Formats: sequence, C-alpha cells, structure tokens
Amino acid sequence: MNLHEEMKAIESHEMAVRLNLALSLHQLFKIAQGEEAINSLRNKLNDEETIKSILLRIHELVELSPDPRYENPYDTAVAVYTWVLYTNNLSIGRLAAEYASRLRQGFWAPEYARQILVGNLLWNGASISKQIIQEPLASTKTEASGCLTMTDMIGGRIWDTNFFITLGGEPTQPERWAKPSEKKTLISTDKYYNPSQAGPGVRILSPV
Amino acid sequence: MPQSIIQSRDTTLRKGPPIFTRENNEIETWYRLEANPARRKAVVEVIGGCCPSAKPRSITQTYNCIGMVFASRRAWLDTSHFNKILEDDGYRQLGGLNEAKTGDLIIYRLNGEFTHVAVIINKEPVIVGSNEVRVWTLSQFGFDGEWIHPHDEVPEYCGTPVEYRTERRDPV
Repeated sequence: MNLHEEMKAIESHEMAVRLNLALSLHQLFKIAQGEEAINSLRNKLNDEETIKSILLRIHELVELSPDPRYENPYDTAVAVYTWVLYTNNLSIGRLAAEYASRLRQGFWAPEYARQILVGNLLWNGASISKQIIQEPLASTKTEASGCLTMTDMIGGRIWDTNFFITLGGEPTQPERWAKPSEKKTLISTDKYYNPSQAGPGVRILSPV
Repeated sequence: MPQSIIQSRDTTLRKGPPIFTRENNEIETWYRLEANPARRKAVVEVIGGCCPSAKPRSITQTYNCIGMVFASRRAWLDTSHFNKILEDDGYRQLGGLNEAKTGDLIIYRLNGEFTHVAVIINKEPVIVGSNEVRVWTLSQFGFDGEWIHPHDEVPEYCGTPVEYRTERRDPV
C-alpha cells in the first residue's frame, strides 16, 4: 500500500466502525494493531517525509469544520495518526497531540491527546491514575492530597521514570528517577525537586 | 497549550446523568455525539458482514454496551465501573449457559480482558424437542449500534462469551 491508500483506508467509515468496537483507548489501539493499513503506515515511519505528511494531514483534519449535529468523522483517524507518531517518537507524538487536542467534536482523539499531554502515555499506552496516599510521595500535594502514579498498559507501575507536570499543567520531558541518596536536583531556574522525597511516577512541580 | 485540555476528562468529554448502584454508589456517565448518517450506514455493512445472523435494532454511538445495560441507553460508561456495578447490584455468577435465563447477562472477554456485555432475550431449541439451544441476545457492539444476535456471533474484537451473570431473586 502507498501512503495515499493507507490514509484513505484509515480515514474510511469502515475503519472507524471497526475501531469503534473498542470500549477504551487501550482497546482501540489493540484493534488498530490488527489493521493492515495502519501497520503498513507504521512501517513507513523511518521516512521523514511520511512523518511530515501525517502531521500535515492531522493539521488539515483538525482545521475542518464538522457538521455540528454529529461527531467529527475524522475522530478515529486523528487518534490513529497521533498514536502511530507517538509510539514512533515521543516528541513528534506530542506535537501531533497538540494538534489533535484541538479537534472539534471529537471523542477518541482529543481524549488521547489530553492523556499524552499530561504524560499519561509515556510509552505505548501508559496511563496515569490518581492514588490517595496519606503522605504523598510527590514534591507537592495535589488538591485531593493525592499523587499521580504512572502505569503501563497492563496496569504495572513504571518504577524508573519521573514525569513532571508544572502547577500550570505544563508537562515536561520524562527523566530517569534519581536515587533517594542523590542530592536535591535543580529542574529549572525556579523549580526544584528533591529526589529523596519521591519515588518514580508523575510529579507536580512547584516553586520552592 | 490550552490548559483546559490537560486538566481533566470533563473538559474534553461531556458528563452524562449520574447513575447509582443498588449500594448507592455513584457511577459517572458520559455523552458522545451521534455519528453522521454515512458512518451509521457503514456500521450496518461492516457489522452485518462479520455477523450475518445479527439484526440491527438501533444504530447509534451515543452509548456503549455497558451504557445500554446499566444506564438505560442514555450515556456511556467507563469499563472500570463494570465490576463495581455487578458487585453492588448483586449479580452472581451462574454455572454456565444452561443456567442462564432471559434477562441475564453474558460477559465477553478477549485475552482475559472485559470486552463486551449482552442481555439474553431468548433461548430456543435448535431443533424442536432437542436439548441443544440457541441463545439470542441484545447488545450494543462497542459504539457500533444495538444488535440482536446469537450469543456466540459477535465481532472478533468483542471477544468470546465466558461468564453468565444474574441478579434474579427466586421466590422462597
């Protein structure tokens, strides 16, 4: 299949119908893994031009004005494009997610983009859950005195990575978890993180 | 980056009417916009193609299979609530399909993961007088509309029937 054929198949109603058998994003991407056109597209992601074409296509689809009575017909396609880019390259995937988050009347795509943008999918389908912990491991407490933990697709906790979110909600790049024995680490000019207070997971940054 | 996108699910998905389990625990529901007519036409072709005995009852994507069973088709529910609802509403596991009756639930799984739930609407002998029965169910396939179908004829990704549950209370 060439790129045009793959995109045509991914944007078809038939593909959307099959993907909409999913009850969750996790299941949606499992179904996507069984689709020939999607796998064919994923195999082309070592080509820079293909990546540019997909990003451009997401941008085009996001700019379209859907019929206000109905869901955006390109919702699943944008979710799939974002997923293939994100699973191939974290940074490009985040750029795709920023486009996808603006899709109007979407269902899967904006939700997936939202999850990426909060670091919910660090690797192919990781997810964040909020846990109520008496003494949060995070550098600052969230409003609910909870702490976000990062889990992989099968619910296992990811133990060796920190993913920071600023109080303004801005996610930062993931970093390897620093051992508790290490000293206070400077994250940026006005934000500190004390590794001795935290295990790996998602952390909210705040000015010290 | 728009902050509204990253704050919570509420900002990207519209909350539906709350429902409560028999134990009075609130279950969140969510709205989803309807699919356009061309998409709904494709649903009939795609699902009809893979499940030839299935008959469409209502082609809508505004709720999922759990929403059909527990939220009266008003909204969709996250799968994470499914076990809680079964537990709170007193659904007990049956020994097998032979114990199930009209109104009971069939739960489907794929590689151990919950993928689908259907309501039994009829059990009839395959041949009059025989013990072999055909079970007809009503269910919403994912977000692809409500179908009346043999219990073992569902799209591949809906999994296979593995569990039978009822909340029936027999007279003492």
